[in-house]
Amino acid sequence: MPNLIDLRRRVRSVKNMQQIFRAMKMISASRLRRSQEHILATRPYALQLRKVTQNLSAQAGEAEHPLLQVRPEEKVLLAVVSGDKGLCGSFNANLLRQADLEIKRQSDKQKLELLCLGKRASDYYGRRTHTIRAAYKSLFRNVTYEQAQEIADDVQAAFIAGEYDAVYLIYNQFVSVMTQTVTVERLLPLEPPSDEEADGGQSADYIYEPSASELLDVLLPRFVTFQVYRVLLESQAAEHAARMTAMDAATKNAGELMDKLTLIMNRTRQAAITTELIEVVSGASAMEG
Amino acid sequence: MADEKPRPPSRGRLHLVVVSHDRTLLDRECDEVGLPGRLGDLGILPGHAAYVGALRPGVLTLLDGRDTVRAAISAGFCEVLADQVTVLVDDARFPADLDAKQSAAALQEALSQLEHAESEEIEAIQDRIALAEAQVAIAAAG
Repeated sequence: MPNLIDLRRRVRSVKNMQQIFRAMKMISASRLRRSQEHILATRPYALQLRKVTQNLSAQAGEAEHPLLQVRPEEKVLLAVVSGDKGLCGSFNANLLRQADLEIKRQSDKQKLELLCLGKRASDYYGRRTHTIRAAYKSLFRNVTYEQAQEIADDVQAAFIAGEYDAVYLIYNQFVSVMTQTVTVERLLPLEPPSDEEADGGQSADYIYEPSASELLDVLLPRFVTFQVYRVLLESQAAEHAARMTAMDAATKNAGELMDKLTLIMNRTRQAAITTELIEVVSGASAMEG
Repeated sequence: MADEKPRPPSRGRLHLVVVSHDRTLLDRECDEVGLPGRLGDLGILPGHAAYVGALRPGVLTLLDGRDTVRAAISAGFCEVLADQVTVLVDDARFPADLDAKQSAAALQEALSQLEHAESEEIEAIQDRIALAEAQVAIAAAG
């Protein structure tokens, strides 16, 4: 029979854990809200950037910019965007599993290197035999545009220099609070945003200054940086959402466990009392007899 | 000139939106916008032709009646379409965000970097100097 004192101790510890889970859930919820606001705040810029880039690349047409150049994919860089921390359900596990599949799929390539964004990916691949171009271990506490720029600059320079023929991003896309989908996206060569049909008389006759191709030189790097920034923000939001959901489930489980333990504890207590009573009664009747 | 083409019909007012990657910095109606273009300063009035251009770091000016707003902006680009002016920049500072002393110090620092700069860095540093100069000017004008 379980010991009463042990049971009491367990109930207490489960209760403490539940409090921690609940607090973590609250924190994630508020961080998630902040991340979402952050993403929303980038929308106007994203929209404009997209519109202008789209116009320009349609205009510049033949003038192939180095960032748009499609080459046969021999040398590939895979940027794995994970979280920095655990305790967020299957967020990192799903991502790394998908990344492993992607690595296997690309294994026939002449060169395959990894760019680890986030501590989890850095640790995971650090213990394996892959070639790692760079590992960023604390990105997600505070995602800044400067960091995105640093990453994007490095990747673009390598791409233009011909170190890689393609750069892929693999990250958790924020679909909703309950769902995050692991997504593989090509960062480079850039696909110029396609003309979404009849975007309200898009083909206005613009004057370009300097020329359209020179403008692309200014615009495209910004576009790449912004893509990286967006992906980082999105992964951050997805991580908070995943952690919130996981901690919510953990809080519920802790509650269930506590109920179960309390029940056993009470039963044990009652059993002890019953035994004692029987002993007293039988003792008394023995005396009488 | 007698054979001057009729100007496109204009609403008489411009709508200026300045956005950076993390927020909308300015969103208002005005009469005239002055921008530091890569190839020279631009003055944009209502009825301007559709235009896309790169911007260098410098001073953005907005005229609205007697009201003038000035801001130091970093490099970026702008689009003008149907009296709608959209400016995309990495950063913009208004007089209220700037401190004359700090701006001056930043300018000094940028200038001193220029002295022992590698040739490939020069362009970036010149941009920084231009930005710092614009900030000093804005801060001084208060």
